[in-house]
Formats: sequence, C-alpha cells, structure tokens
Amino acid sequence: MFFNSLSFAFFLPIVFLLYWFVCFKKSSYQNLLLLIASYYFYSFWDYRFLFLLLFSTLLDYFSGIKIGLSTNQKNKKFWLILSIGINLGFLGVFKYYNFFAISFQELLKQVGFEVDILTLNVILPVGISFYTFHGLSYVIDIYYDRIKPETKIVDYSLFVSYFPLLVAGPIERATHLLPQLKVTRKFNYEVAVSGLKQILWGLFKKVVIADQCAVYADNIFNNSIDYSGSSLLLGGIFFAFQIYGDFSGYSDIALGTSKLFGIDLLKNFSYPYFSRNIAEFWRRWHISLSSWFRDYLYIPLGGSKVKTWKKIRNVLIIFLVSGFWHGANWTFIFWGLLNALFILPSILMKTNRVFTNVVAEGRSFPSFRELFSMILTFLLSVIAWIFFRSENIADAFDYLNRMIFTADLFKSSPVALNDIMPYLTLFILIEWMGRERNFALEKFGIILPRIVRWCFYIFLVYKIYYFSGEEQEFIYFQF
Amino acid sequence: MRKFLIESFIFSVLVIITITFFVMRVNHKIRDGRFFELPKHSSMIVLGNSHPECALNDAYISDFSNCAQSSEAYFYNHLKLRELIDENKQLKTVFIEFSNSQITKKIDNYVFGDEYLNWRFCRFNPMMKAEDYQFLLKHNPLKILEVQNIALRENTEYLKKDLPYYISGRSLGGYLQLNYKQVDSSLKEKTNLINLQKIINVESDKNLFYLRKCINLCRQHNINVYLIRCPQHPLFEDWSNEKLFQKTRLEKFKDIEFLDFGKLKLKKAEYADLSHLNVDGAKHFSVFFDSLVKSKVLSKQGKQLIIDASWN
Repeated sequence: MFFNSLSFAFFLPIVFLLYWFVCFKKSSYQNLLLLIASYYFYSFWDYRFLFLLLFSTLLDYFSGIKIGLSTNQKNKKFWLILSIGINLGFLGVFKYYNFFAISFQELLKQVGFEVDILTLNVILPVGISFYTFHGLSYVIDIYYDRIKPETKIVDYSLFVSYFPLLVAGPIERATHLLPQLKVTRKFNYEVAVSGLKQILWGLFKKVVIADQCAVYADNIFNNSIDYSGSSLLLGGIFFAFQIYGDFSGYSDIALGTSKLFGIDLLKNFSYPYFSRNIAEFWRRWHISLSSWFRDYLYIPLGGSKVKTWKKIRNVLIIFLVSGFWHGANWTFIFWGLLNALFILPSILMKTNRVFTNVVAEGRSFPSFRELFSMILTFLLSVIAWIFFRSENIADAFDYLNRMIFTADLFKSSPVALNDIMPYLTLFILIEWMGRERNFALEKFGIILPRIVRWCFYIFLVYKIYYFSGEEQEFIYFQF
Repeated sequence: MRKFLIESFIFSVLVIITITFFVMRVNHKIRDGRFFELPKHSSMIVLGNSHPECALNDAYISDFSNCAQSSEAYFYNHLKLRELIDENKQLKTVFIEFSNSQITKKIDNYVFGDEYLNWRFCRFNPMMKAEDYQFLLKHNPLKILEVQNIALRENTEYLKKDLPYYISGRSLGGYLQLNYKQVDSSLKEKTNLINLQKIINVESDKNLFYLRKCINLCRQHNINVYLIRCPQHPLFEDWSNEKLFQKTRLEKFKDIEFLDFGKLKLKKAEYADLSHLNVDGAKHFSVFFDSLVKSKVLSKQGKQLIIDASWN
C-alpha cells in the first residue's frame, strides 16, 4: 500500500477513527490496533514477507531480553552478535548476495577464470533495510545499557513495524519511540491539524514535484546521448528535485500520519538544498540514517577525535557504507565515495560545523555569499546524484563528461519547462519561507485569514489530485 | 476531536466540490466543443470493434466515415453515437458491427474491466450521462474512482492541444491499416478452443442492451441502421459460437437488417490475422462495400443474396 494510493486514503481514516473512538482508553489497546494495522499495511505488498518481519522482530525482542538479563559480558556479547549476525545475514542474502556473486564472478573473469556462480532470483522485501536498522539500534542500545529491554512484545513489535515508518523510515530509535508507546495518547487538535498539513505538503512534494520532475529526469537520463550540456545539467537538477521531493515527501507523509495518532517521529529532512556546504547538507539530508551511522559506526570508530589518517578512514567508511546501504550497485558506492571526498576538506579543516543554524535566519533573503555557497553545494550534490541515478559508473562518467564538455552548456536547453516551472518555483518559494520550521507548510500563511489559507490548501489538494495517476512507487522503497 | 472532525469534513466537502467543478467544466467544454463533426459529405458511419476498424477503409467508400475502434464495446459505441448524431445532421446511415465476439460475456471485460477502463473511461468520460456513470460504478466502482483524476488530466491536456476532431485526436477510432500477413502464425498460436468456448458461449446481456440502445437512438433520429459482420478468416475461433450468435440475432435483433460479410472468401494474403483484414483485404472489401452502396443495394430486397452473388 503506497501513501499516495486510493487504498491508503481509505485505510488511514478507518484506523484513525478506530484508534480515537474504540481503542482510546488504554495505550495497550492503541498499540495493538496500530500493530494489526501495520501488519495489514505491510502484507499489502506480499504477505509472505510478513513472516520475515515477524522473525526479525522476535529475534531482536528475545535477544534484547537475553542481553538485558545476562550478567556476564560473554553472554551479552553472544546474543548481540547473534542478533546482528542474523539481521545482517538476511539483509545480505536478500539485498547483497547477487551483487557480491556477480562482482566476484567478474573479478575472476578479469584474472582469467570463467566460473558460473549461482545467483538468487529473489525479490527484495520492502523496508528490510529500515526495519533491520531499527532492530540493530535496539539491541546495541541494550548492550551498551542505554535502554532497558522491552518486555511487552506488542510494544516492541510496534516499534519495529509501526506502519508510517515501516517501509522507508525515518529510522527510529528505541529511546525516542518506545517511551511514547508506553503512555496513552490523548488527542490534540493542533498536533492533528499539523499532521494533516504535513501529509498535504508531503503529497505535494511527491506527486506534483517528484513525479513530474521524474518525467523530465527519466527522459534526459534514458536518452542522454541525444542531449548536450545544458539539458544534461537540467536532467541532474530535475533528478535532485525528484529524489528530494520523493523521499522528503514520503517522510513528511510518515511524520504527518504519525502525528494523527499522537506519536512523534524523528525528523528526516531539514531543507538540505539550502545548505551552505556539504557537511551541512549531510546534517539536513536523511537525518535519521546519517545520525544512525554517526552513533553506531562513526563514533565507535573514533569519530573525528582521532589522528588525521583515521579521520579520513572513518569518513570514507561511513560514506561508503551509507552508499552501499542504498543498494547493491557500484553507483551507490561511488556516490558515497564522492560525498566523502566532498566533505573531507571541511572535516580536516574543522569547518564542518561552521553552519549549524538556518541560512539567512530572521531574514527574507540570503546574502550573495550565502546564495553562492548554496548554489555551489547544490551543484556538488547534483554531480553526486548523477552517479546515484545512472545505471552504472561508466554511464555516469559519460553523462558528466558530456554535461561539462559539450559546448552549449550555457545555451538554452531544448527541454520544454513550461509545465513544471510554475510548480517548482512555488515549491522552492514555500520551502524557503518555511525553512525555519519543522516542515515548510507548518506556519505558512498563518497570519492570513483562514479562508485564504483553506483556498491555498484546496489548490494544493487539487493539484495533487490532478497529477496523481498510476501509483508511482517511492524511490526509497527499493532500499 | 469534534472540531477536528467537523473541519475535516467541511474541508473534504470543499475539495470534492472544487474537483467536481473542474471535472464538469472540462467535460462540458469537450461536450460542447463540436469535436465530433464529421466531414460534411459523411452521411454513413460504421461503429464497432477492430473488425470494421481494419476492414473498411473510408478512403475507398464515398460519403463514409469509419468510427470503429479496437475492443470497443456497444456501451462505448452508444456514447460515441450520441455525440455523432448530435453534431452531424447529415448522418443517414449507421452500420454497427455485430459479430460472434461482440455478443459474448468476454466483451464485458472490455466495458468495465480494469485494463480497458484505465484509458477508455478517460476518453469517454465527457460524453457520459448520469446513467452511464451509474452503470460503470455498479460494475467497477473502485476503478472508476481511481481513474477520475487521470481523466481530468488527460481531458484538460486534450483541450490545451486544441485538436479539432475528437475521434482521431483521442485515438478513438478511424480506419486502422494493418500491413502484415500473419494467418499462419496466428493459426499456430490459436487459442485453446475448449477454454474459449466456456467464455464465448455465454451471452452478454449488458453489452447487447447497449446495442439495442444504439438501434433505438438511430431510429429516434430517423437514421437507417444496419448490423454488419465484417470478413473473418474461416478458421477464426469465434466462429465456434455461431449457433448462439444466430439465436441471439433472430431472437433479439430480428427487427434489424443484418448484412453478413463474415464468410466472404478472401485470399489468405488479404488477412492480417484470423480476425482482421490487412491493407490489401481492406481495399478489396472496401471497394466492394462502396459498390454495394453506390448500386443502392441498401434499399433493395434480398440484400444478402445480392451481397453473396456480387462478391468475387
């Protein structure tokens, strides 16, 4: 079930009404309802993968209890390694086995051995990367005594499978979500309205911005040989907006949906394209994943409080792993590497935390310097996105080569932009105006009379309705 | 909670009103746009599925327009006919394909099956009246809800393009030229007859109801209406329900003249496949059809005998 589907439009109000009118008395009723709804939501793709989700849930649940109860370190470590090993094992088989098998086969071919390695014909279970990371952070946190193991299986299962975040995050932490599941949620008008607004803005980003940019980006990337400089640059820019609209749109819908049930989820995006350097970009892009890697990989490796060469190693590791997390393809790994190379100078020069505030805070317009930094950072991200979007590394280099070295880079593009530009302009404008908020529409037009605001919301709904056609899958579902 | 629910309800109602307004506005523009005007000399049309679509090349037939389209059921023929009659006062004769596949349950899927509704609803939506909506909603409500927005977008885009003629502008019919000759390969791939018979030996009341509506509509406007069966290969599977076909024809459409070209003998090279004529077959048949019209066979007695005797 996609967030942008008709079935979800029926599913959500039904769960909402049952939640607040039938199960409102106790948190256990609320949690049970949400859990049933989450499993129903997940089984819409393929009910068989529900068993994998249940297995992973039970594994981490029992491992957590065992780690919590163990008095000696050896036992603790055993359960931790068991849980991590099996979780990553599943991830490895379903997501990475074919990649390693084919890569190994090609490597052997390069050195003169022709072997036929068995590849698996398996579908990647939706959301496996996300719920695996939920489980991993949970057992690691128990191991390091950051949290106590959860004894109520319904509560723990809901933490892993809560439908707004199940298939594409945000990657939650037990320390943030589990305490919220322990208390009976009370309906809050302001929170619910904010949730609806966030869903509305998320749908606009997904259906109007991402899906329409995808038409242009797909056309240019799939026929890149027919285009030259300026059009290829546009293709990269369109993809940058597509992936941002798609993923941050998904996150907004997830967060908004969760607010309707009185549950706060971790923020996943914070206007990354208004960043002034790559380090800031990475603090604003897919925040829940970046912070996961920071807390469970980068800091245990020593973070930035180590010798220079180790700093470089740590940055490279975290970005390569992050790239690899996105998919079993060299393009993602190279995308990670490129981002590591972009960010390294600022980490080495200790300027990575220069921009921790919002750009042009309290002002309507950025300074020229800020504008220049933002454009430069955006262009760097576009270059990296080209690798992310391309079928293989050779294609990406060819694309980049043609984009930079074809003569008409500064000539106008033959791509007709009339259909998308008004929406893209409106989108950037609203995002800019709302950049100090949790999401762009949060306080947008709050000083205007309600009738004007409602007209604007109706306009957004109409445009979402107008542009939504065949259900378009969210890009991050494949990860 | 009460405030939230009331506001959500009011907002939803306003959204529905807005969307309905735009849907109606676009549909109204298309309906009132005289997009179905045929050339002034066109006093005859043919409606139906891919059989007439590929068999009657209007370039060879005087005063004739081919308005048939692949897999178009009588429900959609009726919608199209309503608009054509409304905008073409010169219309004198309507031929409607009446063949073995058109009468069976199989065709129901072409009316409200997911695959066909996806695009057909979008194109026919502006011509629909409340009763037509009700009919589709009754049989596939979810899909109808799902394709509303696609219809709105496609119709708006159509209006933006400012195309003069709806049928060709929306790919809703006209002579379709097939250049291939694949009778032999079609025979090899021939559908399993046993399975097929389960479907094609059951009559589709729903589709035939709309054929009757087409006939009545023509009669109301004093337009001559004929049922025709275009040539099909003798080994075409659908011939297997001929008994049912004849029964239906004689019991339900006895009052309409039926011109049967189905069994006219054509060369193998004139067929594209078992159910369609290719460009050569269409030329041969269209020239013959034109000669029949010109020799005023339509106003003579014993039409079928003349047809069979005149064919070479």
